[in-house]
Amino acid sequence: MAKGSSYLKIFFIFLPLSILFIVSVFPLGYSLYISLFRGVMEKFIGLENYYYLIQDPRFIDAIRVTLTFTAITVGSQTIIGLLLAFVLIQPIVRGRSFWQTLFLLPLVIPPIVAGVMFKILYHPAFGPSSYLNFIGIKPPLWLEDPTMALISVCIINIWMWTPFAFLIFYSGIRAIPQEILEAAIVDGASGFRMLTDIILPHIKALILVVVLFRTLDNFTAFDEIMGSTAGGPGFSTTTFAIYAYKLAFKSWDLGYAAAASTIMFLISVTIGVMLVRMVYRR
Amino acid sequence: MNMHVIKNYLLKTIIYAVLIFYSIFTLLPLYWSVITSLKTAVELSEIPPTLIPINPTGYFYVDLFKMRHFGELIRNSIIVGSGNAVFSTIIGTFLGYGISRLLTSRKTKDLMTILVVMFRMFPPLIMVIPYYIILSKLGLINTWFGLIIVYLTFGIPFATWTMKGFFDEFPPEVEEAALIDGCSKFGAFLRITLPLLLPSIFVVLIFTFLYSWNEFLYALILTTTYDAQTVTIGVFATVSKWEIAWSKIAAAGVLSAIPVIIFFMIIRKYIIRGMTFGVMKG
Repeated sequence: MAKGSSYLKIFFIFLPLSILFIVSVFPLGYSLYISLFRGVMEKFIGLENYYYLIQDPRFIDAIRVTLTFTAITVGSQTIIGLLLAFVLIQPIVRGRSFWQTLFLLPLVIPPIVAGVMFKILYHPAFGPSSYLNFIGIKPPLWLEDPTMALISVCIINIWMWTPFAFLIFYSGIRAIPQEILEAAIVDGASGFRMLTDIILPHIKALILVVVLFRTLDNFTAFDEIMGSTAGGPGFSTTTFAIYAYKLAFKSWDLGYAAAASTIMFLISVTIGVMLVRMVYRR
Repeated sequence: MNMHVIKNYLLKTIIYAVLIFYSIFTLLPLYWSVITSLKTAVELSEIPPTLIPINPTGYFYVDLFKMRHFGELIRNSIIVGSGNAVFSTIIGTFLGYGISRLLTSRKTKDLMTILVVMFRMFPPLIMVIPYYIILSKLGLINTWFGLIIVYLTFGIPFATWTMKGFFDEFPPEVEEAALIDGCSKFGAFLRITLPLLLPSIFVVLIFTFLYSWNEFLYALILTTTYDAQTVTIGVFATVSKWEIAWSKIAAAGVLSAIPVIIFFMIIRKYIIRGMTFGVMKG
């Protein structure tokens, strides 16, 4: 029996896990190795790439853009997601599953396509904002103005991922025992008091989870930015991922790009470890 | 009219205003792309933009197939997506079963689960640089098979996590009954558990296909011609090369989004499982 079960473990755990390690961990290690070379594995230079990287003003700039992008998007997604979930659980709302399905739709749209669709939406002549001209307002230069462009790509990301926050909050709130909510209504709790006194304490852990997951993903945002601004105008929307991509596959300095992505990875892992500790402590 | 009625009426108005406003925000990029894709060049230059195409034309969709190889791109997306879905689901089903049923100590079980989730935190950008060199050396750049291997990096962890959740919920008594009847453990897995979990396996297949269909960064770098390029690359190519042909860009975006929207409608009941990988416990 014991022997049989160890065969099973080889088949069901060891084998599939080895495949996962070969396709994931091996390239990761190889990437670290690449980062010690100049260009496409041309000359071994040790840690020189990292040394130059921390002094590279473009890299510092990309970090700044990435952090701004992440802060705006994660903050908005959490707040809007929570608000939507709270509105949808109100007893007077009819057709809940209809609204829910509608709100979740952006989750399945390819991110690059979302970027392209917003690029069309942001167009000054045939986008909807051209209607503003008729009421005497000059439409914003969505993708042309550097500051506005960063906000515009944030809006794309918010469009794509607010449903994620909404979905988790909505199921979290629905898991609160009905008696607790009813008791609060009997006690005369107003809508706002209900949110702050009953709902928020119940889904505190979920808020943390959403913030961390969104931080982790938005930190490496790439597709929707490529589809809309490709990092421009200038470097105003060049995040970490866009910068590393351009280093690797436009300038063909794979070593330098690998070093940049390693630093990105280290930051991700730090967030990831925090995440795992919070999720699994429950 | 007393205060209560007025208050209730006001509340209702606010709630529906929020729901409708967010629905418009969700649908606007999709709707605008659809109408833009159907407009002729003349109509597109009209100010203000028409809200419903007056003379809708399917020209740009036909053109995508004729001039931009969208037939081949869709074929490639289907092959790569199906390949990834099948391999990931098989490997993920085995590993998910192994973690759920064969590990007896709570601690190893949790550790393995965390390990699988950790793979979610690998940013694609750190993997794409080593994979570019590895696939070049193996002669697998611009092949379906090469892309399928790379897609396993996100397919296996997702499938494992989700299948583990399904196995955790599946009552072990069913299998135990088969064991008493003289079935081997593997036999019980193959003949009893798997057939009963077929709907769950189907859900995992669709989600891995969907993730592959939406993938962009790996395909952008690891494929070079329409022999292996996927639909997302086709959409991106219309932007970068034909910036002026906005209707064609819109048509490409709409075309690539149609299959995922259909899939979304089929599996929307399971969306919480498919979209919250790593968040909920199973």
